[in-house]
Amino acid sequence: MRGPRLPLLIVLLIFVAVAGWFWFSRQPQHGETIALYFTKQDGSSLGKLAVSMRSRRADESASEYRENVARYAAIEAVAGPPNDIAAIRFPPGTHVRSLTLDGSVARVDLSPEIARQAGGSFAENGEFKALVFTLTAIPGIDAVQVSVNGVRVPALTGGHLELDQPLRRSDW
Amino acid sequence: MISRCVVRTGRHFAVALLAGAALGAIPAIADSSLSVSYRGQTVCLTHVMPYAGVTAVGIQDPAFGALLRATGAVLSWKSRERYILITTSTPTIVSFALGSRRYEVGPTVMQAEFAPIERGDEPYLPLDDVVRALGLTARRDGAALALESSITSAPQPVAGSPTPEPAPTIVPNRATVVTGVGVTMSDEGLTVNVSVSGDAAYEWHRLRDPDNRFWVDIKDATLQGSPIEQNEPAPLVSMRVRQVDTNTVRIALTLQGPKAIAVEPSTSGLGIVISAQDIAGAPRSGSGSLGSIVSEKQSPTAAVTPAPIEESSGGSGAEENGWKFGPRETYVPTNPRLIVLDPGHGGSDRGTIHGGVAEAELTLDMAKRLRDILTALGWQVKLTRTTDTDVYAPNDSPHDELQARVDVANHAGARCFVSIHANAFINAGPYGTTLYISKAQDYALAHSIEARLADDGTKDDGIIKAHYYVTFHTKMPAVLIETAFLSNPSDYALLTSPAWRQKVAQEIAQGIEQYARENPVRQ
Repeated sequence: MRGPRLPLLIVLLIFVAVAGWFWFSRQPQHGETIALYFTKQDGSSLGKLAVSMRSRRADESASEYRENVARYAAIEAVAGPPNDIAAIRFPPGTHVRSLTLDGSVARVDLSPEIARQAGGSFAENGEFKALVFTLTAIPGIDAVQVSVNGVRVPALTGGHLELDQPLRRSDW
Repeated sequence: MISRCVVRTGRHFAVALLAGAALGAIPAIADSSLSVSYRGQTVCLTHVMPYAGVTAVGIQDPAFGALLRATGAVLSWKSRERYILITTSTPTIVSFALGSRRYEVGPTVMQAEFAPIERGDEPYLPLDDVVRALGLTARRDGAALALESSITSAPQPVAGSPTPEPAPTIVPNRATVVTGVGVTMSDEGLTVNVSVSGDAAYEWHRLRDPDNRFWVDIKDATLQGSPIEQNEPAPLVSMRVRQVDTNTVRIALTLQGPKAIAVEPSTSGLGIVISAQDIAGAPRSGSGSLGSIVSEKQSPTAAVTPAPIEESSGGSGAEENGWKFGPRETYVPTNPRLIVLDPGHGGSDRGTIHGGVAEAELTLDMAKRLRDILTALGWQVKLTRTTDTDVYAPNDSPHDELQARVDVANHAGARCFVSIHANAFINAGPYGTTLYISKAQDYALAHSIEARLADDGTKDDGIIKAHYYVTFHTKMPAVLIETAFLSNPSDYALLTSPAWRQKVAQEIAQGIEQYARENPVRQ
């Protein structure tokens, strides 16, 4: 009697373990925070705000969730910190048209308002620095490729930053 | 044309000179032209008029411009601007202001014979003050005014300002003769003995390593005997002695390296002591007098090289081994004496605009001022644009425009690349000067310039690394300078001041000089 029961117990335990792993892997992750960077008005130093993310939905894969987090982070980085914080801000009206992840590169498409720079390199440099530091703070992202209105541009009109290659933290 | 000028002005001018002699100034002339000679050349000033008892000269007089160029000076003025700036060969900034008798020679405040005036659309300056500011003295030479290099009286400052140190007076002596040049060896090195009879002023210069040439000009002197051209033992390579013009004898030496040199005037001539030791950062020019009044004054920061700049193969190949195990830059300029300046924006791209002032105009103005100063220092300078135009084409793409600027520098094999800009922001808060770099080799250049710009009157925001197109894609050390913020009221006042733009140009030039001195080109 004792003999046939042991294999059955082992099979049962394996089943429970696999089912448990599958169930846990599909559960939303709670308590995740991301860092939203902004460039201070000295033109170079960064400040950051911690933002708690929503849980991953049950119908959302891990990669989908990561992409949504990155999209949210990009939107917030372009929107800038609360108004009472002195920061370099993107030109009014600038928004994220789309964001996709391509391996470790986040491809961010910005609206044409990004070209409405105040002039000089001060704002342009601060804006993209904040965006790149925000997105590369997300695990698995190490570069940001920017396009404007769906088109990859070498630089903004009258701008200075080279945009036709992915930007990395090491560029600053 | 010149002789007619002399004939026409001669009688009036002679009378006026006599009348003005007691005033110690160039007297007012009663005619509308004036012959002026300098270093054997005579020009005819036509934009001249009497004013306040002295002579006023119009700055748009072509002959006046030629005269300034002959002295190595450059004049900057724009229509409707108040300040007239002259950068002398030393270089010193001489700043006149319309309507003000006060003017500045470097840090010293002076009082002019009269406040510069505007006649039509042309400012007129007191000729006497201009001559003194250039370090020249005026003396009567027949019907013309003869200008000479001065180590005589300096202009008198206004009360309360620093008093320039008096310099000895040289009485021109036509009998001054260079009677011989000999070479003697000693344990300390080699001495070139220049025997001179009479009193004379002299001026010496040396070029930068690896072009190790040195020369001294004995002024108002003649060479006795034939010119000399011969090879010499170490640490010399060769020596040439000749009469370069009717008034100047030049002793030119080619050295085996950047040797230490001491110039020792005496009552009987000049001793040039060349040490066997190499020296870094040696003074590159000096002047003095010999004969009955002996003096020597070096100008450690002066780097005037009026001789034609020729590319020399004088570099020492042995030095290359010194870099075998050390850091080595991969970039070697094909033209190490060329600086490329990039006035930001231009043409269809105005840059930032505030208060009706466009960044494109300011950057071009500053780049031109910087070009003039660097040229006076002996550099070759190329601008990516010399007028208010796009470098590539109107309404071109950012890539084409920026790449065109990069191409100018890369194709020319320049020593370094400096892009000049003015900054802006959506509010008036930010202000200051920022230097942007992209490559490791950019840092030394940026650091040298930043050190000079640190006291330019606005905040020093330091050096920031950024992936900027022009600094990233230029092969040579490059820096993009955001000089100040047009969007900030105090910075706006600076940027719209010609004197400040001249100051910034001067400081950038000094920074480039320092960088070049501390980072010699390795072949």
